[in-house]
Parts: sequence; C-alpha cells; structure tokens
Amino acid sequence: MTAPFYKFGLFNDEVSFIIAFVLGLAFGFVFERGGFGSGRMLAAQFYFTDMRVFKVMFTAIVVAMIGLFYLNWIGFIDLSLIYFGDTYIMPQIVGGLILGVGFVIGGYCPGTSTVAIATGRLDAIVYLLGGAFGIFVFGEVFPYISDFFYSTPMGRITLPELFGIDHGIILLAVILLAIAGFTGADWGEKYMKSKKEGK
Amino acid sequence: MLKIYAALPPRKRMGILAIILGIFAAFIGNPSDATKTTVNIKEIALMAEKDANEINVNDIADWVIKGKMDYRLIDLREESEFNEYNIPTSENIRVHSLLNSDLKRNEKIILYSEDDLLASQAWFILKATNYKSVYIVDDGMEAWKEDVVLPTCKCDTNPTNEQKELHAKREEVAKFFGGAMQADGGNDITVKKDLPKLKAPTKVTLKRTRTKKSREGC
Amino acid sequence: MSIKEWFHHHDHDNVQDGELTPKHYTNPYLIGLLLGIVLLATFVIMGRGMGASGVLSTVVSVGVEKVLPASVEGNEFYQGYLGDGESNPFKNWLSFEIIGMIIGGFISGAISGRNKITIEKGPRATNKMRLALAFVGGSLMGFGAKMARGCTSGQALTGGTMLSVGGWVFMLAVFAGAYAFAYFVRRQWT
Repeated sequence: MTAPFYKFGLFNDEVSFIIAFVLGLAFGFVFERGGFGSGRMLAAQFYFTDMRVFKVMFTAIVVAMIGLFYLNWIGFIDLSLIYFGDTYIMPQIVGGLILGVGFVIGGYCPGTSTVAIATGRLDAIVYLLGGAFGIFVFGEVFPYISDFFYSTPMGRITLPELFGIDHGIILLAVILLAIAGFTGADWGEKYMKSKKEGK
Repeated sequence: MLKIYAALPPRKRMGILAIILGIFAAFIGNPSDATKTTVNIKEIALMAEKDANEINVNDIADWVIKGKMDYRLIDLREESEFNEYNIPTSENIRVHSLLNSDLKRNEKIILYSEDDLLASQAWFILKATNYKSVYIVDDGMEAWKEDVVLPTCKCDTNPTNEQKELHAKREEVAKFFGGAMQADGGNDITVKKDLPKLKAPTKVTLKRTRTKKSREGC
Repeated sequence: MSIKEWFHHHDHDNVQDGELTPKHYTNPYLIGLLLGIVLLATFVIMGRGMGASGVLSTVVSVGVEKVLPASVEGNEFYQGYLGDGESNPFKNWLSFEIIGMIIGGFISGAISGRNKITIEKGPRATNKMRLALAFVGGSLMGFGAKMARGCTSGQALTGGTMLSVGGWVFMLAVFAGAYAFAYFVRRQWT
C-alpha cells in the first residue's frame, strides 16, 4: 500500500497546499466547463430542463468509486486511511433539506458559487455573503442547538457496513441506479424540450 | 460484439463499461476484508535479516520518560498479564485482534510480548498486510524487567566517570518506573525477579506529540 | 452612466439571451468523468476529498472573533475553525483549494468568453428580486451546510464516493429539499 500518499508521509504539509491549489484549479476549471458557474444552469436541474447537476455529480461519484474499489483491490490504496465525516443522521437530513432549499432559491452551492464569482456573477457574491450570514447565525445559535447537532450519531459508517452487503455489490447497485437515473434524466430533458417547443 | 460496442455513442460505451466493472466488483466482494493476502516474501525476508526492526528497551524507556509519543506501543500478552504490569503508555491488543484494531497502516507500531516470539509472529502478520513501520522490542518484557526496572549493578571496582554517569542514569530510570537498582545477584539465575505491582509513579499521561491534527472536514 | 442606470440597464440581459445555451458547455457526462478523475486523484494523493464550505466558516469565525470576541469563547463551533491559536486558521488545505478553484474557473470562463460581470436570473425576474433571493438562499445554504457538516462538494461528492451513510442521506435530502421548493421560486428562474 502506498496510497493515500500524504498519509504515508510522502510529502509534507507545504507541498500538500500546492497540491490543493493544483487540484482546485482542475476542479474549478472542470466545473466552469460544465456550466456550473451559471446559477441559471444549476437551477434548471430542479425544473427538469437541464439535468446536468445530477449527471455530473453521479458520473463523478461512480467514476471515483470504481477507481477506489479497484485500486484497493490491487492493494495500491488503503481505504481505511481516507477521511470522511462521521454520520449524524438527523442533522444531516435537516441540514440537507435546508441546503437544498437554499440551493434552489440562491441558485448555487458553496463550491459552484466560487466558480461563478470567478466568472463575474454578482449574484454569486451576494449569495456567498448570505452564506457567511447563515454560518454566523448558526455559530450564534450553536450552543442552543448543539444537542441536536450531535444527535443520532452513527460514526464513520458506510453503506456496505450498514446493510451488511459486500462493497462490490453496493458498487454495482449504485452504478445501475445511476444509469437508470441518467436514462430517466435524458428522457425528462427531451420531454421538457418538446413540451416547450410544442407549446 | 466489439463492432456494436464501437458504434455506440460514448455515453453508452461508458455506461456499459461501468456495468461490466460493477459486475466484476460484485464478484470480488470486499477487497478490504483481508483474511487472505499475498505476501512479498523476499521483502520480508530481507527485512528480517537486518536488525532495523528491533528496538532496545532502553530507547523505549527514554521515549516514555521524555513523553515522546509518535508511536503505538502494543502489548501482545494476555489481559491478566497486562493488568499486572505493563510498560507505561502501552495498549493491550492480542494477536488475533490486531487486524480488527484501529491500528493504521501509516502509524509507527512497536510490538512486545513476554520475550520475542509472539512479537515476531505479530510482526510478520502486520508486515504481510502492508503495515509500513512495525518494530519489535528486543527481548520484550524480560529485557524490560532486567535492563530497565530491575537492572543489576554491573559495578567495577573503579568505575570511570562515564560508567558512573551511566550507573546513575540507570538508577534514575529504574526508580521512575517503580523499580530499583539491584545488587549484583551473581550467578543465581533461579532467583526469579518478582515484579512489584506497580505503574509508573506519575501516571504517564498519554500526551502524544500531537501529530498535527489537521482538520480534514469540509 | 450611474450605477443605478447600469443596474437597470442590465435588467434584461438574460432575456435577450433567450434560452440557456447548454450547447456551449461540455457534455455533462464528460464533465462528470473528468470530475471523477480529479476526485479520485484527490483521494489517492491526499486521502481526503474536496470541500468548499469550510473556508467560508473559517472566514466567519475569524471575523466574529475580531468583532464579537465574547461570542467565540467556549463556542465549540467557532473554536473548531480557529484552531489552537498556534497557526493561521487560513493556512489549511481548503483555502488553497478554493483559491485554485477560483482561478481555474476564471481561466475556463476566459477561454470560452463566458466571463462577464452579470447577474444570473431567469427571464421573468428583476435584478433586485434576484439579489434578495440570492442572499436568502445563501443564508439558508450556510446554515444548512453547517448543520449537515458539509456541502455538496464535501459531503455529497466525497461522502458519496466513500459510500458514507451520512453522505448519501444528505445528498437525497438536498435534492428533495430543492425539488420541493422549486415550485415556489419558479418566477426567478423560468
């Protein structure tokens, strides 16, 4: 096992910041290429006219998932060293719902808003200011809601562990679901397009 | 078949490739669940030859006293033995629990048992599953008892300054761990040195030299 | 022209645009593939995924500390982002990533001529309405992101790839929330 490289001490923190920058460059570039710098484009997802948010997200997840699985299989990477957050079911559901509403009202999510700002969208700046405000509010009420914030913890748990099903089978299930989703999304877009033209 | 595949638009090609990889993965099951593993025998044999994997008890004593905690010290003995006496800052993990434990492959792991045997076997197991830095305490608990906690005074009649310093240091170390310098017991090997029930005098607080806990969240 | 005039002059920018022009953007599946590769590279190199909201939280925490230091004392949330006072809280991985993202986005926009100071909105919306809603949406997002301990980049992409239960639950909640509310803001976008 040699990966994740950083966790095995192959380079130090300073270098990791450079890497962060480079990865960020790629991330931002790809985001903007895909139209995620446009609030209208992002919001179109929720009116079924352009489903690219769903397509991009899930394609990315499937690609990375397959990559990780096979790299782990050949013993190149140690998955247990990869960080991901602990699960707190209720706060994540509630937080997700709130964020979803904020997403469709504001038209961005944190990552896409930075790309939007980079391409000159003023509303993204306002959005981010709103974001800061929201975080501030959260910080202020935090002592009162911290009980809820820490409720329903499940630790660092994955879907295979939760269901007791093999990692590989879950992988296949996600792939099939994604493809079904993409087919539905493509169909939905065509339908909305023809509906619009038919009008 | 390949012609049909090539004729499909790239989307569908990616999709089919993904499904094939997925089916294959379903058969593989759980690659992280390593009850079986392939071992690089040559590498391990080479490592075994060098003494680089051994650590002297005196070094361990040093590190504990200095509070240097960039390693995990693992006691492989039974729980009862561990509770009776263990090297301060060590954790009790049995060999069969090693792979289920929270030991990470990028941590510095130091193993000890009563002598060398169990530790060596555990060393092989960890090395075979790709743990990067694994070490054994040379002669384990026996060496700890003999050299650190209850060292015998190998006193010459006319010690040099260096020897006097060394002697004083060993006395201090022994005291720190609750033991004492023993008079040279001669060749009476049958005198089994009984270890007093002790923990380190000041419960050595596990203050790990904070490996910079960099926030990895979102 | 004055700022006010400029503001109203651009009120109908996107209406002239007419349709969204998706054909100028790259195929989403290809984008997903590229994104997946970048994500995979991040995992392999750093052992972590991407993230975005963390930087904003750090900014807020530092700001609040300067302005209202009393609030920050003993508040676990802020303390988490301020660190142990030894190092600059901004000196973390996410900050550099975000800087990269901004530049990367700029470059991409520049080479395809999409960089324009503008306000994104649908044909039926006014600038004022849009900015007001952007602020509201942003606040909800900020609050929700902290509650869920992440945003779509971190929780959904990273957590999703690692098959984290929380990540998937979060993702579903985000889509659910957005779709549920889309009807109420349709004037803004369509």
